[in-house]
Amino acid sequence: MIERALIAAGLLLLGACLFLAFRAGHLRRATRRATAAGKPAILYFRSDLCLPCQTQGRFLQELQAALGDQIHIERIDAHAEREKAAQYGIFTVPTTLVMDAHGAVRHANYGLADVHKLVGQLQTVGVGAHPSHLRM
Amino acid sequence: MSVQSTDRLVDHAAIRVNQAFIIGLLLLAFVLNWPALAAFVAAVMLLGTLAPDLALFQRIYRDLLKPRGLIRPHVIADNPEPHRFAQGFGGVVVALGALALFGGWTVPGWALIWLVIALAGLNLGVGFCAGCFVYYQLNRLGVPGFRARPIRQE
Repeated sequence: MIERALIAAGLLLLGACLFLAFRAGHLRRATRRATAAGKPAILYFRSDLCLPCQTQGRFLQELQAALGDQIHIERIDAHAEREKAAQYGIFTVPTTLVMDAHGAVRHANYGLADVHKLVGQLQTVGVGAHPSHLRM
Repeated sequence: MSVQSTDRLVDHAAIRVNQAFIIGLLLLAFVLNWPALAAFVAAVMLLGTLAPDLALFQRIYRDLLKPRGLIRPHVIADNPEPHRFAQGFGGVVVALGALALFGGWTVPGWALIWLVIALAGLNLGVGFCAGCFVYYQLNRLGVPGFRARPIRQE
């Protein structure tokens, strides 16, 4: 049983490492494609074929209203702009990429990212967010 | 947090609890080398797909965890069908894995079960639902039966 537990732990660790490597590669690839907005930005890949994107869109509206000019949010229809989505390595929607002011993509969220998570990520790229102003 | 007025709502906290149980029990089955536990998980997944009200792990969330405030609901606009498809597909894969184990095919059996652990882990940890992705691709291809389309956004 101990051996099997160690095998399980090893496989889980391997899986986590593979995912982290994939995400690191994705962030590098997306950074090569991105252009700096001069301030922290969120690239939001969405589609009309995606119902959770409604919720993600609402979260981003709240974020923009709370943070104003501190961030730039760009909405990209991954279905209509397939080539652009492919250049950023997008394989699911909603996907949000969080960039710093120099255009480096620092975080990638595959699937719905709530306001709290985005605020935390924006704080790592220098945004002075005030979560208390946001409805959670 | 306000919730948009629509009849297409899914509590993602219930889905996450479901996935946590599936992952935890399948890992336990592997560590204990207990194919019957994997078969039990497959049965729960398949029954929950066919009759969502009988989904055991989600019932635990709904009847025990949520009322006690141990886990907060996370209701968002979403189609339930892709998640049911994902669970059903996962249930089939786990069932096949359990059958392989009972038949003495250890490596293929546990490989199938680990595939479900990995995909459920991806959903739980990162929010990417592989089964939902497949469902929507089948919908886009016009495959009969995969009718649930996301509501067009304004």
